[in-house]
Amino acid sequence: MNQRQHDMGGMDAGPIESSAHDAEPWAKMITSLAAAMRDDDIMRIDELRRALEDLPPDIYSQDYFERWSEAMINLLEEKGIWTRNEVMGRMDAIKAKLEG
Amino acid sequence: MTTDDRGTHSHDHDHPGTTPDVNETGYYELMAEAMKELLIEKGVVSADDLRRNLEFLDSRDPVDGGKIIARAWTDPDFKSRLLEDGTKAVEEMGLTMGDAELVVVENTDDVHNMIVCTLCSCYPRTILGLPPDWYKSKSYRSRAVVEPRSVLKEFGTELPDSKTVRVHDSNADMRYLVLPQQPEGTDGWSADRLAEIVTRDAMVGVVLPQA
Repeated sequence: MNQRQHDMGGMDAGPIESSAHDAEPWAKMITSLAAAMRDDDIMRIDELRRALEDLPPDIYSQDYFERWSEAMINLLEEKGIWTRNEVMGRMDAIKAKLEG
Repeated sequence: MTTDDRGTHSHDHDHPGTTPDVNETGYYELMAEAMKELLIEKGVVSADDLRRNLEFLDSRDPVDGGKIIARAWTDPDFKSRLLEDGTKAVEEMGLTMGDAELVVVENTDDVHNMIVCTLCSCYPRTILGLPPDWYKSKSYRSRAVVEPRSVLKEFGTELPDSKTVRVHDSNADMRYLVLPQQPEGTDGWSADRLAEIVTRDAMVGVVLPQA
């Protein structure tokens, strides 16, 4: 049976890195945006899970909240809420403003 | 990872009067800020809903989980209700599971329980807060179900071979919480004092609480 990337039980992996650090503010923002959209039934938990599982392997293997962000962009694009280009464009605009 | 290899940068909007909430220009920090701005502007998420969710997230703390465990240790009726229907029992303590069910698994002299989510990283976050990084790591997700004793050893937990180790694989709809055994030497302690020795990792089942 073909084991998909998210189905990690039993895969080879190294030792556990148990050092702890708090979630960064942007990670909390992503979590809270997701929660707010779940409350309003705009994005269901299982839809997000499917979008996560469908990410390309190089993105899926990134940090947890990085892949959440990528999956949310894709899912909300499918839903017609925005396009990836729109999000990218806004990122550039924010960056330009910060570097002002 | 590079920051310029994903997606095209074709738009250049100007949004006067808004001050971004980020003070660094890391790729994912920018992405989170861009997503927030767009979702609010489009009316998909209200600023107030977002604020409430951020507040709720910041108010979550493993201490609440410790209170649940300490009450179970000191109140046998509550313990029965907790094992019977975890979701309902924690509501008595003002805690919510959101959309998921809570299943509480009890450690005994014969059985040790630990929890994992091999498929994603499901975790009782409405009770314990966001999961630690190791819980979300490939190492933990992959190995917990095939070599739990080796994983436990990496957390400094060595169990006798005579003890069964039971690994519970969570999913989006069902979250687990381990009810550890009350450590020796804590008889007669108040629930408040007991709650302080119940760590997050003890409720995930990778360590044992210490008096």
